[in-house]
Amino acid sequence: MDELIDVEICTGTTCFVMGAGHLLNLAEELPARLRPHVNICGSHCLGVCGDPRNGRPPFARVNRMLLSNVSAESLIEACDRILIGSKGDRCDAV
Amino acid sequence: MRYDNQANRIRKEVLVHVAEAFMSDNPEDAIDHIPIKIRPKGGAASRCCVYKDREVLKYRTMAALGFGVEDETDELTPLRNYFNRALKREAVESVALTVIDIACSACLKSQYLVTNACRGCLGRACQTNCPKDAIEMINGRAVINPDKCVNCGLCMQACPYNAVVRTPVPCEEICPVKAVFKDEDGREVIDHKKCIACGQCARACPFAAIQDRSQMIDVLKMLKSGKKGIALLAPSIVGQFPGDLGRIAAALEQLGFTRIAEVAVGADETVRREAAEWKERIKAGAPFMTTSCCPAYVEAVNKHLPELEKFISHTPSPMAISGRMIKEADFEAVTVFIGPCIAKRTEALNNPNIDYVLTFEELGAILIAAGIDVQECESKPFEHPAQAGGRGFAVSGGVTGAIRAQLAEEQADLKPVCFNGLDSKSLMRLKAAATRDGDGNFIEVMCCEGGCMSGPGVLCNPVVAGRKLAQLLEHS
Ligand code: FES
Repeated sequence: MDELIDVEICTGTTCFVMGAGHLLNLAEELPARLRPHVNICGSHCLGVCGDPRNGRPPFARVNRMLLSNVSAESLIEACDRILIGSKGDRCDAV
Repeated sequence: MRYDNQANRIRKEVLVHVAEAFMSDNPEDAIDHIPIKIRPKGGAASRCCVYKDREVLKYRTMAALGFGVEDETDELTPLRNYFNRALKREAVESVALTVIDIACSACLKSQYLVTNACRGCLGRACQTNCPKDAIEMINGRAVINPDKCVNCGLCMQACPYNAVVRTPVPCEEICPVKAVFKDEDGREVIDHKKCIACGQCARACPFAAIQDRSQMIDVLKMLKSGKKGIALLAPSIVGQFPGDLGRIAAALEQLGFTRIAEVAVGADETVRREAAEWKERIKAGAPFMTTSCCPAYVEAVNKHLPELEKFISHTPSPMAISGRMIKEADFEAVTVFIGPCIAKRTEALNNPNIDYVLTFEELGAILIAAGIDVQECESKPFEHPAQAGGRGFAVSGGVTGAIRAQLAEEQADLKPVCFNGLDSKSLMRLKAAATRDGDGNFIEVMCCEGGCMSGPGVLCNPVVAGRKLAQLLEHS
């Protein structure tokens, strides 16, 4: 897989307060298997926090796909799933 | 310690709902609906059913309104009654932590357990190593006899299959002063005679069954009434919201605060006075002096280490100095300390110059409810910016660094020791320092490991916040 997985963590006030503030060190907390494949950045309010139908904050986008109530664990899992998809293999074997 | 998990998020969600209800057209109705809104019929439940969840949410809402479970005399009292009582309250009544007994899972008493990974092996290292003969083989598997077990943990170390585990009681374990214990039903209670209000248990409980009482409503009411609200921002504000200090100040102004001040300005004064006090005390023959800025530590000394009392600096805390400066300049000012700390509520209750205390979490909830995005605010410079010394109070070692810089030529005499985080072991070491000659003559004590930036009310990963602070200090 050549392209990096884009992880965009919303750091608008709502997301920041509800938990994104604790995710700001995620780049350093990533497991080694993911580090070369993931690019993490912050983002201004993604504009989805106003509508409860989008789920609960904090929000993030992984390769443009919106995820709600994200945690370090759920973001790592989402990245792993994309990696498996592109390799057709289990992440541990990557 | 990581304060971000689903249990803590639900607590924050309730705060947001309460602030939103206050700002809505029909607050009483909105307050009554909070449990139903968060756990609607047919939706997912985190406990056995939404009805139990709602009952717990009722108590969370009460805590967000400033009431404890103890304040309930009739279970049928609707939330709106508590809301109205909160609105009528003239001053803060109680700051005691409260245990939501029905949310407490009554964790098993901390113990060692043999799991079913046990293979009943021939080696039986567990049995051989147990000094109390507490391990029996039952149905081909090791079983610990709780009557004999002394919790030494040797069996866990010895088992080649890692089949022995230890199940802790998180709230009891984290309490530095053993103030949390079980009642006859196995649920946790807090002994308020022992509690130093550090708030660690409230964040460590995986069920968020221990809650602090919020003063959010009191502050919102004060701001709405048009009084002169002055926000006193703790030094650890750095990094707690997206955007720099100036943007945070602008956001607070939008909320209706008349003036925003850095408590780090008070901390600068604490440094000057504390350095002078230290010189005097040492000259007079005192073996050492300890800091006085951490309220949980001061409370720990008052309640548990009376022999240390005479060694605590008499210099007021940065919050106390800041509050006094504001009130002296304007007696109409209503002071709101905004910080990461739960113990500050106890300190403020005994200090006439501080009217209210909010945590960063609570401020965050108010900003969300008001729809204010800090990043979008126009940065506003402070009237009186603080210096690096005072701003550094936010992290462990910061006070010591500032005192050292203040002492200038005399700093060679300073032998600092830093107690970075309080637990039962460090309390013992502190006790020893009072009676025996320790190594240092200046002792800094921070109840939270890492300092205030790791306090129970923070919103930002302490590593990241620490980095932001370091950047700011270069320009202070
Ligand atoms: S703050 Fe994250 S979507 Fe608005």
